[in-house]
Amino acid sequence: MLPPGLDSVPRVSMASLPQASTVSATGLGYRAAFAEALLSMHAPPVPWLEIHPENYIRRGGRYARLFDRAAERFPLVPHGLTTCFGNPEPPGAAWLRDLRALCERIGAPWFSDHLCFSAAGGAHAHDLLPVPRTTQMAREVADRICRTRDALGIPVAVENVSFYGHPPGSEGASDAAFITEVVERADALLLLDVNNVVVNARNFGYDAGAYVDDLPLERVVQIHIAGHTRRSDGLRIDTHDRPVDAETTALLGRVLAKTGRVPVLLERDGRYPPLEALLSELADIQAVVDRALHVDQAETPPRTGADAAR
Amino acid sequence: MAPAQDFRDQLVRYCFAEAPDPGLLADLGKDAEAWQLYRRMIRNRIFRFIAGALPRYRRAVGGERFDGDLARWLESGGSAERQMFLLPLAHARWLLAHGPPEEPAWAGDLLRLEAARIEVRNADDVEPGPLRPFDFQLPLAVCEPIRCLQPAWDVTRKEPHRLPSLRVLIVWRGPKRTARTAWAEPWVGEWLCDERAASWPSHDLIRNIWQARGVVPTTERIEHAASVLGPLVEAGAVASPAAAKSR
Repeated sequence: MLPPGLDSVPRVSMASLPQASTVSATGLGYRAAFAEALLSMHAPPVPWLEIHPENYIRRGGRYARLFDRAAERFPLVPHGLTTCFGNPEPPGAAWLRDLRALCERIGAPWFSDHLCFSAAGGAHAHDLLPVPRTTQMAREVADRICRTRDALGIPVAVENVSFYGHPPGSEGASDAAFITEVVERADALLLLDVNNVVVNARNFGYDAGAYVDDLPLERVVQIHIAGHTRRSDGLRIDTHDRPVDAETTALLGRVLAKTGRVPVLLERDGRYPPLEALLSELADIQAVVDRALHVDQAETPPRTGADAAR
Repeated sequence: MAPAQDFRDQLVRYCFAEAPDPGLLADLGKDAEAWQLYRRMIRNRIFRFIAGALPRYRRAVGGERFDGDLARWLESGGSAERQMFLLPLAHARWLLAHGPPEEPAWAGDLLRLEAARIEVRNADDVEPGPLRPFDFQLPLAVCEPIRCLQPAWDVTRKEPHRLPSLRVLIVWRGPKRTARTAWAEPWVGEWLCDERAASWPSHDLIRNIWQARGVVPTTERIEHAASVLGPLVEAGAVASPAAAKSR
């Protein structure tokens, strides 16, 4: 269902997005901290990389070169940090033009950003902040997703975020129901971050598995997995600065058993281990993926991100 | 209940206020601890990132002064850049516009140098078109970003000292995309950064600048320019346009 007035949003044929079929298995978030080590490998065991456009747009020098070299060797998928669909102000035509140019250059099968806000009043927080879970907000966010999809000309995926408090008006409103309302209104794809699900479930005391069951899993085009920090008072913080824990890995397996084959992406954003250790973790996650899909292979046909994006 | 727009504005204002505002916090609703946590996380990330980008300036003025200026900058709406890598440069420009600290005396020059380093490292790549090796008889093609500073202090040294005569500090993107520096006579900087450099043969423009400055042309001066240009030419930072005709 599309919001009123947005029933003519063009959909994109996946036939024109050849890279979509190459984005499968478990990829890695591309970071400058280990880029040189990765690029110096003869045959890196990484099938695809996810990049943050904010690190490369209108930027030359080392980052431009890192981008070029990655684009030569890997399928790249763009994942935004500041085009958050809950921002009160739209991203601006110039930004969307540059973002589209980057997406076209890498043949991006889809673009993803977060279901949250990161800026208001002209100031960028450089963090992901929760929006009130209201019907009015769902309409506003869905409208923004549709306009972003229009501007970029490719499918758009929305990522569920971790959060630590409930904005006024959200009391009693289910996060899963809010996400579902948004993606269905916008006819958008879902980037399911299983680490964020675990962080929120632990912090707010609900069952992560039941939460996932309430999501429109048929829309999942990509999965994020990462580690998080547990503070001494028990609060989980979504830091991406340590290995993925067993609980999150178990949830990944459970999700994949329901979605079938969906590209998984390991995120690491601090306390970087040697690349060998990161690649070893990547292999462990791929093993979880393989096990989950084997269990369910008879029922669920293999699919790539392209299938969900169709 | 505050409308969603108000909540988003209020939370960002709360996070960027120089001191936590209990009134703003109360308006955000019952989860006060959560909004305090966001304030800490956002500020820690931005403070760490900018401090890491301006390390010598921070050491020179001290952490307390540095953090105080950052807090004032944030409250003034300083974090207006979508791309995080632009924040240190935006903050440096704000500091320079508001007058850097008087102590130490070289703080402003040091800040300008660290800002120029960030700028040349990240500046968008130049597309100079077809090139040939640098030739004084041809215009100048700048292939990598170059900034020219006129500091009063030699801030390239760990212990800065006042310069005995006017010099220009050329900051440019060198091999491996790092920022390099080179000292030169002031006219070299004027020439490199002159808008006419792309169309005038270097020889003519240099003579024009010398005449305007009352500089006496000498062999030593030409040799000086060649020695300054050497590393830039070698690294491919400057060349000459292939299409230009030698005069």
